Amino acid sequence: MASRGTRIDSRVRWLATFALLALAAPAGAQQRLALVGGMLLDGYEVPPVHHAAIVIEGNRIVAVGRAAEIEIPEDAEVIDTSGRAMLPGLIDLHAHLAILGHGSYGRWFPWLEEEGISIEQVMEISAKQLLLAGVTTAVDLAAPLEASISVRDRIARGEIPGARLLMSGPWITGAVRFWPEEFQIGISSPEEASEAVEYLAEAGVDVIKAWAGLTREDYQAIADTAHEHGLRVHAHVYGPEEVRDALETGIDVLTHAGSAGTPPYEPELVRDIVVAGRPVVITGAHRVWVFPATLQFPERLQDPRLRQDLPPVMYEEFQRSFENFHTLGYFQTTARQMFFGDASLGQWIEAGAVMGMGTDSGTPLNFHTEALWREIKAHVDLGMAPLDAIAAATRINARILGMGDELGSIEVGKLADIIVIDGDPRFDIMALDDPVLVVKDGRPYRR
Amino acid sequence: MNRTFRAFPFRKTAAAALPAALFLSLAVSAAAQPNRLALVGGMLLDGYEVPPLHHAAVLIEGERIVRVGRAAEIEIPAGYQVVDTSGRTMLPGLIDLHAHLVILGHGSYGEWFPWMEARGREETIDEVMAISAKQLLMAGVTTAMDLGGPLRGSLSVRDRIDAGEIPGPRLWMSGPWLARRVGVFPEDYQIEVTSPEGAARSTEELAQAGVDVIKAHSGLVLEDYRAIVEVAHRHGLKVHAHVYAPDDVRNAFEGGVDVLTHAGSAGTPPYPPELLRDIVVRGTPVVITGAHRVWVFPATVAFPERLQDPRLKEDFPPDMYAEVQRSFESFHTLRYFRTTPRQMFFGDASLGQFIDAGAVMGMGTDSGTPLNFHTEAMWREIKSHVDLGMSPLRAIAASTRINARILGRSADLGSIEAGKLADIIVVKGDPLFNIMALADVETVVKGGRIFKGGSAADR
Repeated sequence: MASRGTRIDSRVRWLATFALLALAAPAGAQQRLALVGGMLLDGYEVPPVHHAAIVIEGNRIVAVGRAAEIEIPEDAEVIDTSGRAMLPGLIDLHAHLAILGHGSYGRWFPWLEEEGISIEQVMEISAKQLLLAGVTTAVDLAAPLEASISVRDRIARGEIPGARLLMSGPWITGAVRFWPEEFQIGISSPEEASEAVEYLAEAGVDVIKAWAGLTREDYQAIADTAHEHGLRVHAHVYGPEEVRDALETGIDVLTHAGSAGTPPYEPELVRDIVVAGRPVVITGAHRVWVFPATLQFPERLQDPRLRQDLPPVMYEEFQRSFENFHTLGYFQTTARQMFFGDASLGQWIEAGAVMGMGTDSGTPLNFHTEALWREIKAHVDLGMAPLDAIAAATRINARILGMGDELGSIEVGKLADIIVIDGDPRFDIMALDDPVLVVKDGRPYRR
Repeated sequence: MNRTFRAFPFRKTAAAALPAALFLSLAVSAAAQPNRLALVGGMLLDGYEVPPLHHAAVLIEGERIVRVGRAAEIEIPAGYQVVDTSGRTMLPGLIDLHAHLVILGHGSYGEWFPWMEARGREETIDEVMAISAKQLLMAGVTTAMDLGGPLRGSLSVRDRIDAGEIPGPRLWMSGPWLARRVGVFPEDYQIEVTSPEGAARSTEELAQAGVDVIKAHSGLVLEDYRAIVEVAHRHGLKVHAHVYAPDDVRNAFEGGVDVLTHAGSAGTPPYPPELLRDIVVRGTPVVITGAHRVWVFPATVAFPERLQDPRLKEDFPPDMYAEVQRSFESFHTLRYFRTTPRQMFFGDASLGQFIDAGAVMGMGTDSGTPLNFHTEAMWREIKSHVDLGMSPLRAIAASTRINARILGRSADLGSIEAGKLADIIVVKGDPLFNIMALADVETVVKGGRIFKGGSAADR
C-alpha cells in the first residue's frame, strides 16, 4: 500500500501549494464558482473528504479541501452541495454519437437520410445527453470525419453544450460493412493501414479506432504510425487471436474483449495482458444487462428524457424501432453473451487487469442518458468495489487517454469537470444515475 | 441454401413426375382462396427466450403470419377462421434436426429392412416414410431433417409433401450418408468413401440429385471431411457429421462441418476440455440426440405399455403393426440396447457437458431408431434437455428458433413473428411449468394450413 501513502502525501502537498496560490491569486481575474458542503470523492481509491469545498476559477480547480478550512472568495458563485456527493466528471471511453439507441442500424441511417437529418445534428443531441448524464469527456469511436471534428470543436468553443470530445473519425477496418461507408476506412495491407492513420492524423483526430478483420501486420502498422503522431489506438477485439495480435503489436486499449458470448480467454493471454498493464474496456452492460433490464422494465424505452431530447419525428421513429425489441437482430446472440457474461467479463476484474470504462453507448437500446452508470453498475455487479469502479470511470480513464494531468480527479490545477449527485455511490452505485449538477470546464449545467 | 420455400417447391426430380394439370388446379385453388386464420386467446411463446405474451392472437394470411400481439389489441377482420386457443399455449412448430423416416421404431434393423424388402421394397419405402412424416407432423414437428435413407424414397416423400399430396413436415433430406465404415443400414442407404476425392465426387452427385443436406457418417478422416465440406458449401448445403469418438469429433470440427450430431451420447466420459472449448468458442452447433440413448430404454423398462401406444396401431397397417410388435418381445435383449447401461452411466456428464459449457445446442432425436417413435421423440428429447439442466424456455428456443438458424432458414422458420411462415402448434397447458405439455399437441398449423385440431375448437 506504499503507493496509496504516496498519493495521500502528494495530496497534502497540493493543498499546501494551493494555500500559497490562493494568497497570490489576483482578485477578480476570472469567474469563480464554489461547490460547498458535499462529500468529496476525488477520483482516487481513498476515503472521502466530508463537508468539502471546491473552488473553481475560470475552467480550473484552484482549491479543494474541508469546507471549514477553505476560504471561499467573496465574488464566487456558491452552490450548496450539502447532503450530496461531488466527484470528478465521468469519462466514457467508448461512445457512438452518431447513433442514439435506435433499434436497427439498417433502418437508422437510411431514415436520417430520408428525413434530411445530418449526422452532425444527431451528434449534437448525443453530446448533450452525455453531458447531462455526467459524462464530461467522451471518446467517439466511429463517425464521419468532418462531422466529428466539427461537433468536437463547436463544443470546445462553447457554442453548443456537450461532453468534451475525443474523436476517432472513421474506424480502420479490413472489411467495410455494417455501417455506412463514411464511418469507415477499408484497408487491405499494412501500407494502406499506415496511410489511413496518416490521413486521419492530418485531419486532426484525437484517437485511432482499429476495427475488424485486421492482420497482425495491420495492427503493427496502425500502432506505429499512430504513435509517431502521438495518437493512441483503441482496438475492437473479440477473438483470442486478435486480442493477442493487438496486445503484441502495442495497441493501446483493448475494447470489447470478453463480451462476445465466448468462454473466458486462455489464462496465458489474460496473464500477459495483466502483466503488460494494457487497459481493457469490456463495454459489458449493453451486452449482458441492457436486454434483460428491458425485458423486465420495457417502460425504460419511453424514458421521458428521450422525448425531451429527440425531435418528435425521431422519437416516433425510435418507438417504432422498439416494437418487438426482443426480435431485433442486435440481440440474437445476447443469450450466449449472458451465459458467459459473469465469467468472461469478470475474468479481467478478477485477474487484476487495468480496467478502463466505456459503454458503446448509442448502440440499440443503450442510451447516452444512462449508458455510463449502467456500465459502472455492471462492473460493481461483477465484483468491483464501487470506489474502484468510480476511479476507473474517472482517473484511470483519464490516464488511458494520456490526459491524467488535466482530467479525471478533483485536484488543484486540473480542469474543473465535476458532477454532484444525490446520495453516496459507495453505498448505492445507482446514485450515479441522475446527476443534479454537472460542471464542465468550470461551467455548470443542469438538465 | 439452394433450397427456397415456394408455394409449390418443385424440384428437378419431382416436377417432371407430377402431371401439369394437378399443378394448375392446386395453384388456382390456392390463389382463389388465400387462407385466413386467427389463433386467439392462448399464451404465446414466440421462440425467443423472453416471457410469454398472455391472451395473445396470431393472424395468418396464406402461408405467412401477418400479425402477432395481445388479443385485446388485435381486431380480427371478417373472413378469418378463428381458432380459440384460450387456456392453451401457442408456440412455433418444432424442428427435429435428426430424424429417420425409413424406420419407425422397429426393434431391429437386421429384421426390419429384409421385412420391407420381402413386402415390396419401393412401395414399402414410400409407405413407411409417409407414415413417419405424418407421425412427425401430428407430434408438432413441422420441419424435420432426415439424415440417412435411400435417395429416391427420400426425395419422393419430401416432394409429395411439398406438393400437398400427403401430410408431413417440411423435410430436409440427406439421402444416403457418406461413410468409410458402411453397415447397419442397407447398401443403397449409404455411399462408401475410400478417398477424399471419392468423398467430394459423391457429395457432388448428391447435390446434383437435389438433396438438402449432407450427412457425413462414420470412419471418415480429416481430409474426407474437408473434401465433403468444400463441395457441400459450394452448393449451399450444410454438413451434419455423425460423430462420437473424440478424434472423430476433432476431425469433423477441423474439417469445418456445420453440425456435430450424436456427440457425447456414446457411453464415453466427457471430452477433453480443449475440444469442448474449441467447439463452444466457434459456436459449432451440437445435436446430442440424447433421449433415445439414455431415456428411452429405462422408460420402456418402467412402462413397457408405451410400446402398445394406440397411436401406433392407428398409424401402421396391420401387418406392419404386427411385425413391429413382434420385434418388441424381450426388447431388453435387443442388440441396439447392448451399450445402453454405459450410455446411461455417462449420460448426465457427457450429454450435459455441452449445456454446462454453453455450446450452441440444436435439437434432434434420431427418431425412428428402435423404440424411438416419431410420435413422441421430440418431446422426449426436449424433456431430456430440461432434465439435464436447460431451462424449458431455452429448450423450446433450441427446438424452434435456434434449429431454424442452424438450418440457415431463420428468415422463414423458428419463431412466431409477422412475415414468417405460419408453422405453429397449440398445446394444452404451460410447457414452462411442465415441459411434458409438449406431449399433447392439440393443433398443428403448417404453412397456414391446419393439419390437426383447430376446427374442433372453432368458435
